[in-house]
Amino acid sequence: MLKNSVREFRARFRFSQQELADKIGVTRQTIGLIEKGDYAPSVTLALKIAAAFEVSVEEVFRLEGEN
Amino acid sequence: MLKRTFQSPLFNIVLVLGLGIIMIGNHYSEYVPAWLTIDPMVLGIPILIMIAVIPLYNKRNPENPIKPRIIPMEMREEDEGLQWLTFKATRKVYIFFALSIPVAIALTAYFNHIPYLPIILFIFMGVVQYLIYWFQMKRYS
Repeated sequence: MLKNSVREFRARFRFSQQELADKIGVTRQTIGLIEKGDYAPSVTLALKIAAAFEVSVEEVFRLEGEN
Repeated sequence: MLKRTFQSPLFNIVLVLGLGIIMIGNHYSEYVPAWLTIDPMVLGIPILIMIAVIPLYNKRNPENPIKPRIIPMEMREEDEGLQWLTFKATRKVYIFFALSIPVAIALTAYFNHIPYLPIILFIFMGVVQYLIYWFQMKRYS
């Protein structure tokens, strides 16, 4: 299962969901869906999110409970 | 505000319900009570006002205008997250129609003595379609 630390990074950078959404060109709802783990973003979007936090994708997204 | 109203499945529920009741009242008046015969303008005038206000809305919101298009406005496809959400909602609506259409055909045949039953079924299916869509979008938003 894909887990992520978007909420934690967002808090660290003091971004609101809307600010992060504006930075990467998506809607606030999409950020909410990703944070809740309901939606697994595309590689492109994952790369954009990681770039917004200036970290690698693996630091934001990780697989848990699978081999 | 105007765009959000057009995008709301609840707005479409009111439209479908209103149109259905008006059609039954006006075209099957001998089968239904008199109070159900409603003037079509009760629905028509508010819709005409809303349509007339669109150019004004577009002037005030040039970055987010209301444009005429075939795709229903409640379908949110601005980005991949909303496309996924729309996919989930429309999938459930598809399943609902796949199950309800055969039932509706059978009901129409069995209860052929009720001439306006097809309209009732269309109203029911239309309302349930929008409710499924609305609940699904609400659940994740």
